[in-house]
This record gives sequence, C-alpha cells and structure tokens, in this order.
Amino acid sequence: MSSSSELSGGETTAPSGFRARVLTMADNSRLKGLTSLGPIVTLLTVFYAIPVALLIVYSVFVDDPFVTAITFEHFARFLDLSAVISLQIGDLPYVRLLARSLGIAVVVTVLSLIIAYPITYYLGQHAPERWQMLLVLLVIIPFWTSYLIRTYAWIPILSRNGFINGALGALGLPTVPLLNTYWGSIIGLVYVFVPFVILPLYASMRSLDASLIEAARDLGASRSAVFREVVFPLTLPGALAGAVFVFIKCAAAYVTPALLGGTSGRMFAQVIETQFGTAFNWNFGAALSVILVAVVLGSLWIAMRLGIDVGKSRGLGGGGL
Amino acid sequence: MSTADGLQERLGLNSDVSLGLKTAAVLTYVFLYGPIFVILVMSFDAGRYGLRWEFSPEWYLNLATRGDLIGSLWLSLQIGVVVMIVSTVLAVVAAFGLVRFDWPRRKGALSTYLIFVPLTLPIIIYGIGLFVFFSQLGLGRGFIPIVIGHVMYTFPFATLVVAAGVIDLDRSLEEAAMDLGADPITTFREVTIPALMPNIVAAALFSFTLSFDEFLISFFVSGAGSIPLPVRIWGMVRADIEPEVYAISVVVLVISMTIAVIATRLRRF
Repeated sequence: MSSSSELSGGETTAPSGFRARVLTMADNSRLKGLTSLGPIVTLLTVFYAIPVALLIVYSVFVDDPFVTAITFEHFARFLDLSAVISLQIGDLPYVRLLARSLGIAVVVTVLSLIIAYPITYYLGQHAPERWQMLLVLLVIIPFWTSYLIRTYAWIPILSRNGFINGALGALGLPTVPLLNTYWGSIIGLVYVFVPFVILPLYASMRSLDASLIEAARDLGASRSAVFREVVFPLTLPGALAGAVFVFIKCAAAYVTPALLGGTSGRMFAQVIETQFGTAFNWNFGAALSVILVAVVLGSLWIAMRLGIDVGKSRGLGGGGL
Repeated sequence: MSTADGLQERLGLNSDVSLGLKTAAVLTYVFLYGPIFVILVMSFDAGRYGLRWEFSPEWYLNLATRGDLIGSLWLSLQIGVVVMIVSTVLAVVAAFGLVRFDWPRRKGALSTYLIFVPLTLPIIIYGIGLFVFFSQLGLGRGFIPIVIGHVMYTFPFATLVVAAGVIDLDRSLEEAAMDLGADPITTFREVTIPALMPNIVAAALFSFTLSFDEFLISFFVSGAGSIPLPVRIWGMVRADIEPEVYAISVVVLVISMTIAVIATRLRRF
C-alpha cells in the first residue's frame, strides 16, 4: 500500500469519546449486524413489504379495508366458477387475458433464446480476444438505458408508414400491420428482454472449454452435431436462468404492450393498471395484482424445483425492469 | 452439412469463425442498436409530416423553450442524485452486513428478503402498492414518494455490485494494516474503502441511471407538480408524438449511455 505511513499516523494515542465507542462496537458482532442491516431491513419492510402486503389486504375486502366486509368476490370475478363449470370460456375475460399474457411471455422467451444462442456462441468462443470486452459492453449498454425510450423507438419502425413497411413498399411487397398488434407486443418485448438471456448465456459460453469442441470436431462430428451434443447441453443452465427471468418479467409487462400492442397485444398488467387509473376499483385491481404475483412466484418456484439456478441471471447487467 | 463445410472451407471462411455465426452476431447488434439509431435520425428530421428526411437541429433548439421538458429533466436529475447517495450508502453498509459480519447467521433468508424478492417481483405491482400506501397515509404523491420508491428499487442492484467487491476484497491488505498498528476504523477508512472504490462508484452510477430512467414507480407516485422526465415522455408518446420528444430522448440516451459505459468498465465481473 502506498499510504502505509499514514496508517498508524496520529492513531497511537488511546482512543477516546466517539471513536472509543465505535471501536468497542466493532468487537460486538451482534451490534455490528444490527447497525449494518437494521436500517435497510426496517426501510424495506416499511416501504416495500408493507405496500405490497397492502394489496393483499385490499384484495379481500369489499371496499375500504377493515371497514367493509371480508369477501372473495374479487377473486370470483377473475375466476367465475359457474363459467368454469359450464366451460363458458367467453365469460372468463380476465383468465383469457392472463393466458394470453403467459402465451406471449413463452413466445418472447423462446425467441430471445433463439436470438441469444448464435451471438453468445460467437462472443464466448469465436470473437477475437481483444474485441471481446468491447463487444460484450455493446450488449450491456442498451440494457442500462431507458426502456421506455427504447420501446417507443419501435413506433416509427412498426407503424403503417414506418421503416419496415416503407422498405416492404419499396420492394413492391404488400405492407403488414405490426404496430398495435400481437406481434407489436412480441417484437418490443423481445427487444427489451433479450439481454437478460444474452448475458448469462455469454457467461456459460465463455466458461465452456474450447478443447471439448475441438475434440468433438476431431472425432468427426459436424458443426451442427457439435452444437447439439456439446455446446447446447453445457450452456443450457445459463440459458434457462435467463429464460426464467425473461418469462417472469414478460408476464408482468406493462409499458411495451401499452405502446406497441394495441388490443390484440393487450396484456394482464394493463388491466391491473386500469383498475387503479380509470376504473377506480382498487379492490379488484389488488386481487388481480395478487394473482399476477402468485403466477410470478409460482413460475420461480417451479423453475427452482426443476433445478434451474435462477440466481445466475440476476447479477450481470440488470437495467430497469 | 459436410458439403456446406466444404464450401465454407473453399471460400476461406472456415478457419475460425463460420460466416453464419458472424452474420448472426452482426444482425443482433443491428437489432440492439437500430431503434436507438432511429431515435437519433428522427430527432434531426426537419419535416414533421413530410415523407422525406431533411436535416435540422430545430427540435434541439426548441428544447430551450420547452419549460415543461427542462423542468422534468431537472427534476429527474435531482431525484437521481438523491437516490444515488442514499442507495449507495445503504448498499455499502448492507454489503458488509451480508458478506462480513457473523450475526445474523441466516444470510440466505436475509438476502432473499433484501435482494432477490425486490428484483423479481413485478415493478408495476410495487408501484401500485406504493401508490396505495401513500394514499392511505394521506401523503399523496411527489418528490419524496418517488425518491423512496427509487431507493427501494435501486438498492438491490447497488448492493449486488458492492457485495461482489467485498467478496473479492483481499483480506490480507486489511490484516497488514492492522499488523502495522492501525485500528479498525483507520483500516476501514484507509484500506477497505479505497480498495472498494471502483465498486462503490459503479454502484452509485448504476443507482443514478436506474433512477433517472425509471418509469413505472414514478408513473404511480408522481404528482401534478412533480413529473419526472420518463413520465413526461410517456405522456408525449401516448398523445400525438411531438417531434421534441425525440430530441429530449437523445439527451436522456446520451446521459444514461455515458454513465453505463463508465459504470460497466469500473465494475468487476
């Protein structure tokens, strides 16, 4: 250390007052634990856990909590049992919306994996060493910028006179409706979430032993066989960790379907927002929130039971969602 | 497959990288940066309804007259700085609590509660919860509720970044300082904190940019008098897109991308 001479400078006299108290504290591990973690545990409980728990409370009261009666009518409105029994799927609009949201989340997750595999295989195994850091940085940077801006950027690309349809028109091809459709939601969500898969998958590709690939090639395996038999199985844990994250974040997406999805790309979180923003039915909105959280936690639980290391994806990058 | 490989070999492409893989990588970068490029192009487009693109800096010049946008930008910067300071201090303290100190023993449960749950629960649910919470307290919306929401939202990220540094920290440095006669306070100030500085600065920068770009929490707890920039942009995009929105977006992108580059380079993976 360059400052070794400063280390003991001036601290040789017996400590007194505040300093002494801090030093005694440093010997008490319980006190140290309390002072370091106490404030944040308190803050998080008051300003995170209680607000979220408040939604659970709202979901089981007719109207104002603790003043009005306890009820399950809000959950019954979501899952109308008589409609379930008579198989009147048309009478279950909220269940259908949730199902469609989860369907969109699955499609987005699969597309993200398809996009992530080639680029991470390239970055982790083939990219020149001196470019590697820069190329990875280029993936991370958009991740840390405003997802709202990156999402609305698709409006001039997907709209009826937008860039894609303009290009199609110039080629003499028929235009396709993209903005405010199901595919608008899908494209926007893939764009926003694909780094969640790319980053953990890159980490797996990077740690993949290149000599395994060489050995397989030497033994006569074709490129596709190498990928199928060696690369894919060894990098699957990283891919799945990212995929789980994309799925749960997509299932609760609000901004992207609201800007790009129109009615056919509408998702569950939008109907929750409506209950608070315009319908002023907080109790029903709270019930729908509880259902969404249950779906998210349930998916995580299933993923962990399947042995997917969900924690893998959360460290790298992480911006804004 | 072997035919394709042979063809590639004859074209001289098979040495290290197959052409397909390289093409896919290039296309992915086009996909990642295309929309950002579109924003940039649109921000310099003179014709508001015209079909032809013509260069003009007028939307940037117009920004100076848009008091609403400047005010929101200023507010977002202020919120970002306050959130950055609070979140980083909490993160440094908590990182030591989680990584170094023996008590409490059940660190797994604690880090699930402090980090994993806030990172995985939908932000929209938290935004709504906070909105209901502050309404119940009669505190309404505004600067303080946004700051509180953003601190809770950035804390897990900041803590992960600092904790990674604490885990990697070479303890022999601290032991050497103690052997040379430094007490724990001096060691912490002169050895531990300087060694951790890259991670602390990275955590601070990440906290700032996460808060600066955050939309959903602000959307639910911002009031009429205090509208952060992302909420303002949302309003402009939901209505008829005004051309200034592209110019102010470029300003936002430049700020957050610069910070992201610095923070990512500082951070140890």
